Amino acid sequence: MASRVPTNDDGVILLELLRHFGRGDPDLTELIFSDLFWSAIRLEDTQRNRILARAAVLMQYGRNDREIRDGAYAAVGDPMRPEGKRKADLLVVTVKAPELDGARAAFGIAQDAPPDHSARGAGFWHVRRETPTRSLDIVVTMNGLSTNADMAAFLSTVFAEYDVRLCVLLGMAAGREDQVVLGDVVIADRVKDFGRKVLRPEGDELEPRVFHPDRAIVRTNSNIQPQRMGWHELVQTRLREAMEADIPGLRFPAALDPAEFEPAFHRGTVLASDQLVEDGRLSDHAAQAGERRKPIAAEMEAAGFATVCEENSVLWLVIRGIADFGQPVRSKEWQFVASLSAATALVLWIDRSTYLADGKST
Amino acid sequence: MPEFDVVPFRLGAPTPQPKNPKLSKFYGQVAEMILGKAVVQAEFPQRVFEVVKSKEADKNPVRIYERLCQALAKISPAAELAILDLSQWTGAIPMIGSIPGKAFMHIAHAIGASITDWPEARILAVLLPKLPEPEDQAYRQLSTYIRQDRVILFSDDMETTYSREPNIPYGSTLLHVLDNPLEMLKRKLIIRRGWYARGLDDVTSSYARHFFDGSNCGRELERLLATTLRDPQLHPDLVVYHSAGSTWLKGPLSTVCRDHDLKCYEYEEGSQETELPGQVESAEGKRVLLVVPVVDTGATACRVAERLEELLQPAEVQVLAALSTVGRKERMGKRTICQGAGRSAEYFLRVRQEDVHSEDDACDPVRIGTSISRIDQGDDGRLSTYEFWDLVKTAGLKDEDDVPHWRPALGKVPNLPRMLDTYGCWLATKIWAGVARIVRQLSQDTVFVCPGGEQGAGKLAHHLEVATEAQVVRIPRDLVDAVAEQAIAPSATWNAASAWCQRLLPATSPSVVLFDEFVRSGKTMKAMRDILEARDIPILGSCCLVDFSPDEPKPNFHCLYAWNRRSHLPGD
Repeated sequence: MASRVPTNDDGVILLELLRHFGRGDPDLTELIFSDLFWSAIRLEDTQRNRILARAAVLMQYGRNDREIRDGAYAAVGDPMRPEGKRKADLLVVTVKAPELDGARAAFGIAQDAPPDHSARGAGFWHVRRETPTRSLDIVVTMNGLSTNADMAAFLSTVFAEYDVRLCVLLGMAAGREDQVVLGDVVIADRVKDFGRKVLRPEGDELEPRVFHPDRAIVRTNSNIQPQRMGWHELVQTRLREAMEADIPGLRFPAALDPAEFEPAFHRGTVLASDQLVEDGRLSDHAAQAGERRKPIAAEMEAAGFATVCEENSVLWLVIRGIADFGQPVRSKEWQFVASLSAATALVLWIDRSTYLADGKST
Repeated sequence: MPEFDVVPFRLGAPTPQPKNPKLSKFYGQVAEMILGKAVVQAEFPQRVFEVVKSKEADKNPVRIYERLCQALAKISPAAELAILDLSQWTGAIPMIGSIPGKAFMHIAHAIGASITDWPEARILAVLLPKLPEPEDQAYRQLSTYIRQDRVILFSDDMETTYSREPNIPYGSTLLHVLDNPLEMLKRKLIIRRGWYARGLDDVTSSYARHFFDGSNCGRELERLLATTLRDPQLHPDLVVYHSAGSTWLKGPLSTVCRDHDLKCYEYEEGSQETELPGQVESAEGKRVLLVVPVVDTGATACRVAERLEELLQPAEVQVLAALSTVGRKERMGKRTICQGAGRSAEYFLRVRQEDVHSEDDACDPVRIGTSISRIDQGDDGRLSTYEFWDLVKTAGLKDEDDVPHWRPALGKVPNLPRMLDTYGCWLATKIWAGVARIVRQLSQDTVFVCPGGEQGAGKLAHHLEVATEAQVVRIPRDLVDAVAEQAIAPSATWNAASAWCQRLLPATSPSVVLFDEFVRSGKTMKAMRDILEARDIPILGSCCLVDFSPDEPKPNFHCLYAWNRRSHLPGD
């Protein structure tokens, strides 16, 4: 018998010590890590995996990015939490109410339906979608708070509740007027955190961080042309249904005729920073971030979202409908439509995705 | 008869010449221990001591070099041994803690410069508060002489560099000849590290990091209390004891009061009816002494003293504390406890407390959820994960030294020697409690055996001797290494003339528990086991502070903490 038998409590304490003790002392950190790993591999599977996952977060973000680290750390799941997480093939995360409304409309969830599950104030709506090859369990939820850190923190709740194969960040974004029109959809081939900068005497120097979706996701993006899959018919139908339902709070552009709404589908870069672009200089910001040519969508959550998903080994996808151009005066009447446009494109993406269809998680 | 001499040098001491007969006896015993024969002290009635006062030593440490060189030149030409007394225990240096590094550097230089002119066989014994670290520059300056045992360092912690005989009973000579209860209280006091909530209510705004436990200092406390109660300045008519939680002072105080025919009552804060027993006699016009285990902020002692004045109407309430966390003097000091009322408390020993406010970033009960420590919590002989790493964070890390030849160094390891400096008694009592759980026959007759000449094991040995009064025998490190490397047979290590053999080979063999600072390959433990088994000495079990190979089976083994030190980080 070993001269010490570690317990779950030991693992949790060691994690907390690493979060708080180790900063600034790499030797001490290394020693506590060695104890943590030795202890964790002697624990029961679930606790061991959660502790090791949290340890991985701490190794990745030991000294930097405290907000993202803490969000990711929490997202891994409390090692002391009992077994019994819900399972979902796909989890759709939205941020604002028009985005949730758009997602519910696209997935056929009644706008007044109560959530099937709730945790820490967040509602989760469950829906099963029959694809051509298999049925998928889909969960739709809403964060309610912008910024990357808030998204990271919210995913801690999500991943504590659900085991997920693919996590999708769905909603609206700002676009470049010379590249897209309102209602168009941008699916992310990459996410760029363009708020990161180095402060130098001669001026701030941008230092963007880039997140790449898994190759399987990018490949699927390349293979999909929703316009050829009945996307416009689908979005027009859902839009008409929503207009006719006269749901309080849903706003539509005054001159929009659903029959003429034919958005375009773009593959591009999603720019994510904690700054809300309202200065009308989105093209300049994109250029500074090195994005001159490709279509872009600018929003405030994708970097935190991608970080936490990667920490949890969950594949991720970001899809955004263009609701404005980041002008000083932003109309909000396109927010639902843009979100619906992205959500309906996602529905088709799911139907066509071999990744989800083959039932394998990687 | 062969002679020894005492170097006529004092560092910071106001009195130039030691007049204390106990001290002369002590020097004589130290000299006899080292030389192994009867000796007399050289007599120089008119000799003047070279003195460097504390301020001078601070401002101009080169004075130390000059005066010490002069003092070393005055040694009797016939002396086979010279003793340079810089011990705190003997009172040779009044400075608190240890000799500052710069001062010790000058001391080392002076010794190095002078010893070359001495007869080759003469030994210099240097008595210090603490042994310097081997990597210390001053230590390195003397390392050649230390290796040759021409310069032998002894510390108040009862450690020595004497390689020929690591079991030299310097410590017991310090204890028994000088017999200083205050020094013993300081050394036996258990300092537990935890999170001790302050206040009696549920609203905790701060935590004390230390709990001071004097439960194994009963004899010392009795002697100190007896001396104090006889002091004509105090000379109380009535003694009142109060403690918010600690119980360790109550017994010694009751004994001393009984011996001095003094009434002693216990005061409990609460309703008037329960504060003092009903039978308490009137103290009107008398002197009341309030005795408490620890005075920290002084608020409680002040409040109780004021309450006693209301209840008993005495002429005066004086306050005596065994320990104080505040005070100018480290020993036998006096401090203010009620600023406005001008009340003060006398204390035996000043101790170091750490306070952490609950809003502080480092307040682990708040930020980590660490459990609050209880002063009455039982001891299972182990350190919890939090306790261990909290101690490591406090003591820091160090490169592993004393690395055996047969394995690579572990690199950075917890600085266990430094951990033992402050928490040695706590850890030693934990070791004892843990071993008692696995070894049923554990008693004061049990002999603890460790490798000699190792800093960590040496400090643990010292604290086992002091805190638990365990008998400790140190087997010389070179013998342990030789057996581990199979350079010699275990039976060949036994030499009837060696003190360690004599301690282990009485008429009836003692039962033995092996211990070391930490265990990695287990070869040191095995070598010690082989040495003892060569003489059929029964081994009850083994123990260490930290086990770095926890998955290796070890029968009857106890450790305070264990994990596999090998790094599991990617890339390792």
